[in-house]
Amino acid sequence: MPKGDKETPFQRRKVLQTAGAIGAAGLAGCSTNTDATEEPPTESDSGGGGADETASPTEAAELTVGGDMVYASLSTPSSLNPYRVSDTTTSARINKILDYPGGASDSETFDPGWFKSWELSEGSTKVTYELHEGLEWGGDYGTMTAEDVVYTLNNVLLLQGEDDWYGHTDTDFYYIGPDSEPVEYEVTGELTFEATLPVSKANWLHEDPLLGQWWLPKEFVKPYRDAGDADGMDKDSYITDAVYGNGNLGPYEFDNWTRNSQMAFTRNDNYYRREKIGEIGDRDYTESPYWETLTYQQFDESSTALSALKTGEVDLAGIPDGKVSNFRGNQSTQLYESPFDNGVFWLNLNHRANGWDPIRESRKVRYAIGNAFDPDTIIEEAYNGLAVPLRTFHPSWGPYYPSEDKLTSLPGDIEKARSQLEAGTSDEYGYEGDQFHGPDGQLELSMVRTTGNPSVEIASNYLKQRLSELGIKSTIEAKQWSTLLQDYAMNSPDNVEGEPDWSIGSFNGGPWDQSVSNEQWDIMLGLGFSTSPYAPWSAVRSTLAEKGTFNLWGYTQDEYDIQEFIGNASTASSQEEVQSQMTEMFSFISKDMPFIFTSSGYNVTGLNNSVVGLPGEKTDDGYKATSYFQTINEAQPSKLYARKQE
Amino acid sequence: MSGENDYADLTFRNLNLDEEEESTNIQVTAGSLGQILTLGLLTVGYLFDYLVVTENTSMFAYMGSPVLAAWDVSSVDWMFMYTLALLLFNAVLPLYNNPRLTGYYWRQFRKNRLAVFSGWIVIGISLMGLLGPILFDPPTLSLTDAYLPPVGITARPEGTPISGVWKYPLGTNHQGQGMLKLLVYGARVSLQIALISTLVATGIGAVVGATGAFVGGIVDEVLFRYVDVQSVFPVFIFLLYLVYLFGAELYYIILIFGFFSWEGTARLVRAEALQRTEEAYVQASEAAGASRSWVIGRHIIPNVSSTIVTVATLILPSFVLGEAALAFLGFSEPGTFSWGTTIAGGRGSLSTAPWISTIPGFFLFFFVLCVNSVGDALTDAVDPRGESGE
Amino acid sequence: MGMKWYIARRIAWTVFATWLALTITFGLLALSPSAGELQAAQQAAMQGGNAEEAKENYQERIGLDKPFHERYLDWLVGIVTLNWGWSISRQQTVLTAIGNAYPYSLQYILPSTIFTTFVGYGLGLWGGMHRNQPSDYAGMVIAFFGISIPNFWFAIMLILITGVWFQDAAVLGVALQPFKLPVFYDSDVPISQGWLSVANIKQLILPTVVLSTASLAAQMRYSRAQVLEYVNSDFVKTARAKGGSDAYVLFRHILRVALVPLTNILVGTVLGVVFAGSLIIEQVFQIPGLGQLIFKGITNNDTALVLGPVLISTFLVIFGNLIEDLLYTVLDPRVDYSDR
Repeated sequence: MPKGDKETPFQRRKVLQTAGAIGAAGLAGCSTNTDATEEPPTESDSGGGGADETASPTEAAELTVGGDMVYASLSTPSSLNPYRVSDTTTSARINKILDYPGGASDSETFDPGWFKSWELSEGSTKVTYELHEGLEWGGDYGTMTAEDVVYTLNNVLLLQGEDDWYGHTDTDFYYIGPDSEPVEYEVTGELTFEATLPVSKANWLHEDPLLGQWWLPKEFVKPYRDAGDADGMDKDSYITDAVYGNGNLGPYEFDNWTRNSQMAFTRNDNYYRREKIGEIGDRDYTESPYWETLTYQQFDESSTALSALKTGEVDLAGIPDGKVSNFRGNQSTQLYESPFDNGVFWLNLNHRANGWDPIRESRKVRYAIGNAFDPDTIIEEAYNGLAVPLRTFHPSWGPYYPSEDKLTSLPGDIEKARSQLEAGTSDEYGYEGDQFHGPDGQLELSMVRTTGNPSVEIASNYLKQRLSELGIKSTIEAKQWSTLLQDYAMNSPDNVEGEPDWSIGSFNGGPWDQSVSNEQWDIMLGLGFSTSPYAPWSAVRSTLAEKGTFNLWGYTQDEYDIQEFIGNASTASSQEEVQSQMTEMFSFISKDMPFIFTSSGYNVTGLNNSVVGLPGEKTDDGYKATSYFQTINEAQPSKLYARKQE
Repeated sequence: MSGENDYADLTFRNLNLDEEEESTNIQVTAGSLGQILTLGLLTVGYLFDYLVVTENTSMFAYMGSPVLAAWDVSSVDWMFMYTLALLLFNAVLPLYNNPRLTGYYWRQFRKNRLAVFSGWIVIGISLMGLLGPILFDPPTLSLTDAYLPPVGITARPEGTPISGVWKYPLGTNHQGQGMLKLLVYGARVSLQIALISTLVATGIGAVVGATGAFVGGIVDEVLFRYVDVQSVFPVFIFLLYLVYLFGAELYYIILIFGFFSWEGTARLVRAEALQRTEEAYVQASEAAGASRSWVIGRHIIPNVSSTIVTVATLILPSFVLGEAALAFLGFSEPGTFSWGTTIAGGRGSLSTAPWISTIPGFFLFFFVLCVNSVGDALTDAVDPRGESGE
Repeated sequence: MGMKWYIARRIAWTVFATWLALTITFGLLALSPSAGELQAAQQAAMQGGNAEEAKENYQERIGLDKPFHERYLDWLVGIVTLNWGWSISRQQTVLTAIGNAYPYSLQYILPSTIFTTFVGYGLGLWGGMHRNQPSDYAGMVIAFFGISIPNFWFAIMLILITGVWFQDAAVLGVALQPFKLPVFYDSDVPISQGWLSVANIKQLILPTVVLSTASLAAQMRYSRAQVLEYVNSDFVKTARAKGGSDAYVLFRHILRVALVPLTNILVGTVLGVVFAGSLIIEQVFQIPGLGQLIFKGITNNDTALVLGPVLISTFLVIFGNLIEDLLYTVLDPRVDYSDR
């Protein structure tokens, strides 16, 4: 999905995505893949307070405030609690009532939000924050002060272990450096406070978790903190009725939430940005937001949502791949297609001890499976061409994508796959007639996939058939996302005798032979990752390094110490150096093919014709103009919407 | 007994009861022998497949037989064979052995012309389900052939016009599987679901109902209090929950349907059986020393069988539709060829590729409609209060 | 005296059966992990932390680590004091959730039930009087149509026809646009425009129709059977012999007797059909009613949310049975429970 000109800290942090769960946003990153009619893509572009309210530079005068906007959404927010945000749907909704504290408008420049300024000291060890004046809380809590921020930091966010009365889950991000020491915060004035970093972090602007964090007034939190009553605080109507948003902190105020049906917001006339920030760079917030009311209409049945888009009963809906062709040429809707989703989906292969050993042992065997899977046909047929093919852990439009000759391709040739299979396995394996046999008889592989996603379903059925052409039997199990995570993705040393040499977390409980998942699997579909194409270090390090936090497959290899390599690459002296190092790495990944890279999905949104993109374009970071939507009916790229002038 | 002419000399004085062979309670007829043999064979086969043959290998291949080597008999298939066997020996055979009664029912039934017509449709579809999969290979995926309309029709499922081809006479679905094959295989699956669940439900219901009615007293109280509780239990919710917990596999679904739908049958059977228990032949049987289970099995149940049959035809359609509903919610076994799954899979394309949902939809509709119609007519036919004056 | 005793025993039984059903449900739901627990575990895992520990912490905070019988008793007490728990997935109390959802369900279930009863019954009566004639068959086909068609397919088809196609199409020169029905249910309409407003009724038409067709046949079958039972009885023959017309015989003689089993269906069967069917209808039309509530509760592991509606539905059905049986005595003087 289009990242716009800034990637919010919230998204950057989280890595794991699902291609499966319609109705459950990704637990992290950029939510689900193209097939789900997901949250309207403008949702996550929230660094500047949401896409739909930023104005165009030159022709703002043409746009007027007014009108009702209805978004169709297939997912549900889990709450309105700013402290308990774990998925992008929830964060996108809350973002309508609360801005983010700030972001980065390019690699060096701070983009203000609630924070008027953010200054990193010379040695990159101290940060000075200053809040805008006159930020008002909803309810009777007065204005936002530095005290509010630091109180939340010290009493909610930074606590660990025994003292942790609240159980906030993002604590780790505030503990940095090789010894995991906490960042320390101190109030220095009514609206200013300071952070002291235990280690020097030149890139902190892009890593500061506070820029993606919300907080509530100290006066509100204190009584609950003193009583240690997390449950009470979560159930307080200040949170459940989103009273906190009734001040001037966000573009909209919360109106109502009819569960399983709608969530409605009304325009906040006092939105602080209009006065405090106004025009900045080439963005003009003086009149934002442009809608009088904004409603998210939930749909559980995607065919109903699309019917509603056709009749104009909703104004905007994401369109699944298979249906895009129906909307092309439709008179009452216009389509916006963006190929710049940063999620990567692939065919996961189990390298751990409870998978099929040759997968781990032999590259050729992996190639064979890849040829059976035939990613290009899958893209063409299952995704209707609406996906960008990938050959490595990086999108093909990204800056570090190796050239074609440095990548391994998979033509989808069954004959080739056959010979690769034979070459890659020991003498115990071989073909008997049409069937591929191993020591236990015909080889059988187990596949598991997520439910609720037609493309994943088609892909898995196709793979099963292709594998049988290769002489391999396979079984498919469909599991809910949470079950998939728990029983297949997560692994534990408890499932293997003996103690592990090391253990990193729930997704990497130990080396491949010392930690396995609860359930046996060989191939998994529907699970992917976000790549942060412009800063892929942490993604690569956490997934492909042997001790990476998310290395659930148990992948290891001997050629690179990925951890070290990434460390060097990310701090290399010049951009060219970084480029050549990362490209080399990605080329190797393509060659070693730990899993079968498939595609990065498109994001297609349908809009009612009465909605237009705000004219004028700009983006000032590496994503370039292409990160915005390109319409199919019209040639101009645009991203922002307002009602057409009659 | 001793020699041939002994009967003439037989008086009470020289009848030595102790020497008489005890008459066994088991009357061995050709029918019951056949049934025991068939069921026995099936049981052996099932145990062999389950315990000895490695998972996901065809039993036949395991034994080295080239015939049927591709058929990995599934649990549902085993249950289906059991069901067919039971039906054959306990429903078809008795009808065959009782031409007079059968004739009577048939004449009554025939009066409802709609029902007769429906009956033929039911038989037709059942044959399609039974024989079709033997004659055709299973549907295969062909992503390049997806969304083809039926032959002779031109449509624009994806924007550009395409015409149907003879290779896929009824078109293809979103995965390129042929609709005709899906229909045929779907008939088999739907038939399996229908028959097995119905047999389980009516079987349990009949036994419980008859036992409660005949034995009476506290057994009756306890049984029917339980029936009350089960009948208020929101079964569908329970079903969803179990499927959610344990995974969606067809044989769970079938069994759960069966195990939770017998209350209605039990009640109806009980009502009927209550009338029968007072009849002379039952009392005579008891007097002759028959055990309770004997009386229930041999006298009561056969005489309420008409009720059982009508109830069966009335609940059968709900199982097929129930599976379709589960498929819609995403709770059915992935990869089955049931009509429900096919219809549910095509629901997103109803405006562009309506044949995917509509063709199996019509078949499902007709099948269920006809079964309902037949069931209704049977109810009429066996109802002694009816208009006829036979 | 016998009658009162009977009623008392039945009420006691109602309470007991409800309790039993609830306990079973509680037991089952206690076996599966709760939503909050899973969330906590997953979040922790995402951060690279320890999922097991997070689960334990969560349990401690919420009180799930208490022994089973303690949780059960707490919950039972809560039921009685109307504290039915907090729904994590909906972020509101269970009672509020049910209270919010129920009106939406009721507004299409009630009209549907009324429609089904009258039309179904009427069809059955007519069919019974004209057994095996074409009009009987026609009646049967109409009734059976509803229960032979998969609900969701029918619903989606209707949406496509009346929602999408009507917008642009014209038949015989008459534009169908004015007849277009809303594609989905907008939950704001009853609140902003009134529950009985034209807009609200318009969006309820399709759900009601789909639901009604589903239960029409049951009514029809019973009433037809009843008519058949009595149509050849002595008192009817007498009435006919005295010159009474069909309609007269129907209304004056058969109807009263045949009404008795009507109660049977009205409360028992219809409720049953309605609670399962409504889930699908609500899913397709996006009505935020009870069906959706329960379904989401199940898929989100939101225990408290599932138990509440199960309680209500169980209670309603058992209580309904009691009312049925009592109505029996009123309608049919031959029935008397005092000696039971």
